[in-house]
This record gives sequence, C-alpha cells and structure tokens, in this order.
Amino acid sequence: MGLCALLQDMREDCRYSILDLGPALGTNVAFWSRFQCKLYFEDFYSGLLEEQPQALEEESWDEPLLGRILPLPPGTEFDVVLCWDLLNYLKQDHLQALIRYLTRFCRPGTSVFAMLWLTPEIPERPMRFRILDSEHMAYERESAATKPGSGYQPRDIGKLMHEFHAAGSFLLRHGVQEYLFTYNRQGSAGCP
Amino acid sequence: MWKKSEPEEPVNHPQPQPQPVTSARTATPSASRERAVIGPSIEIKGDMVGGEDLHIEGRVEGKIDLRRNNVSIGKNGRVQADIYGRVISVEGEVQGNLHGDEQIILKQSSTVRGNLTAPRVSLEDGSNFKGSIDMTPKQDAGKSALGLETRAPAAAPKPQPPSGGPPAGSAVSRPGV
Repeated sequence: MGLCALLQDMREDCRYSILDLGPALGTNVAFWSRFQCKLYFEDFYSGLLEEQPQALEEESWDEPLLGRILPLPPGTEFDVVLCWDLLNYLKQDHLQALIRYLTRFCRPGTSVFAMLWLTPEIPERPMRFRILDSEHMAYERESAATKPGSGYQPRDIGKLMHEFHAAGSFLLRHGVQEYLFTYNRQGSAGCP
Repeated sequence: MWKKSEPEEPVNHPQPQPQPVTSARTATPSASRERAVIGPSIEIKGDMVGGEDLHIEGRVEGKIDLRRNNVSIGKNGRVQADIYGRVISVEGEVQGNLHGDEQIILKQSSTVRGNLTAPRVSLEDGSNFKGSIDMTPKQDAGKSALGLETRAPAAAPKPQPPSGGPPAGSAVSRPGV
C-alpha cells in the first residue's frame, strides 16, 4: 500500500533520483526502468556488517563514520529513499544519526518508504523486497532464523521522522506497518 | 529503437584458454564478429582502444574504450577501469564506471562497484552491485525509448500467502491487506 501511494505521485516523464538502502535486485531495476531514474544502491545493513562491523558497537554515529558507511555523492538530492525494513535493525541513536544524515540528501517533497515490524520476533536480517508491479511486492528472507524485535512503536518512528510528514501509514496483516514519509522542509518541490 | 540484429550474447562465448600471447582472436559461434581475448594469466595496465569485441579473463587496470564494440568480463576477469562499450557484460569483478551505449548486463557471479550508465541495465539474481544506475535513453531514441518496456522479473519468487509473525519465505503484499 505504501508503495502504491508512492507510485501514484510518480510520473514517467519526470526524472527521479532514487536511493535504495537494500540490495540491488534485478527485478527492482527492471521496475524502475519505466521511469527516467537514476538509481543508487547502497545495501546499508550488509555494508555495515561486512565493511564497518565495529560501527555497530559505537555509542553513536558521527557524520564522517556515516559517510564511510553510506558514501553518497555530495550535493545529491533524492526524490525517493527506500529504507524498506532497515529501521528495525538499528538502535535508536544510530537511527537518529542515519535519518539526520539522510535528511541532508533530501529535497522538499522527498518520499521515504519504510516498514516497521510490530511483531515480538523479526527476521534475523533485513529482508529483500522485490517490486513485482505497482501493486505487488514480494519479500524474501535469507533464513528462517529470527531475533527479538526492536520494540519500536509507531510513535517512536513519528519522533524519529519529525522533519517528515507521514503521507501514509498502512498496517499489513502480518504485523508490518508501512510508512510513506514526505520531507517537510519549506521550499519548492522537485519534479512537478 | 534497437537494432534488430542483437549483438551476440557475450556470456555464450567459449571460455578462453590460457594463452602465451597477450591477445588472441576468436570467432564468435554465431557470427563473423571477431573478438580479442585477454587470457587469465594476462595483466594489462593502461588505456585500451580498438575496433573489435573484447573478452577479459585476466586483469586490467586503466581505461577500456570500445564504444562501438562489446566488452565482456569473464568469471576470472578482474578489472579496475572505466569501461566504454556497446554492450558490456560482467561475470567477474569490476571496480569502475561502466558506460554502455546499448546495454549493461551484470551476471549472477559479478561483483561491481561503480556507476552504470546505459539505456538498458539488467542485473541477474546473485550479482553483487553497489553504486548508481542511470538508464538514460539515447538522445535520438525519442519518448518510446524511455525504458517504457517492462521486462519480466528475473526469477521472481513464488508468492506465498503471509501468515502470522515474520514470514518464513517470501510473500506478496497486496493493497488492502
């Protein structure tokens, strides 16, 4: 539903800049090819585990560290940021730092798509999400292993995204709350 | 918008044998196009330009500029270079920016770090890619070439109905559920 809401506002004759914080999947590349997109793939969680595992132990993340974990071209402004279920896998201080960092790459009207697990147990690692079409998405997990959920509640996400407006929030039946946020800062929008 | 005579699939080229020379020419199975092969024991540093297809199984560092030809990097290929080609296909490792005049294909075994620019880009499941993808249409291709074609999802998982708690496999989220 959140994805439907996001796509409703997208036009095929506009050029979009999209940041996907999940793994690069051919299905998703094929899907976005209908738009004149520039896609940025930064598999945040895998990159963190493989390249900066010590960062998970840090109390907080500063900008230089985030710049190493998530090296984005300076001056880039994204129209869409796909967080998928990443938020569930980071502790609150890290999340705050990440969102603050991402905000630097947002423009007025930037959409952020995220999912919050409301179940006590969550998959051990973020899942892979495939956009099959504008109304259907498939998810895959690496294994059946689970871990305790983050315990984040919708109000926590609301506080975290205080610079964003919740353009949509959808509760799915398997315990996932989908969110579509829009960056609130005053100014003119990108693609009309 | 695309030439009907598609280039030969680089992946179907026969695996090159280790060779004592830096470059060997082989004929592709289905056409008379010739291609040069950089064998697995070859290491090249510098810029490469030319007028024939190129298959790399060795190591290349520098720049590869074969804008009118196909470039393929085989499973053993390790390339640290910006690559300009017509169709670029990767099975090995590339660190650099890829500019495909027609298409870029990242095969299952590929690892690519860099930015891709081509009208069509396809990633096979299992490919490991980090960077950006710019599917800029050809300037003269007009609106119909803006990637409006929809390609079938590659090996899309079989949808399973979601159940309570974290889903065990894969599932399809439908509006309204």
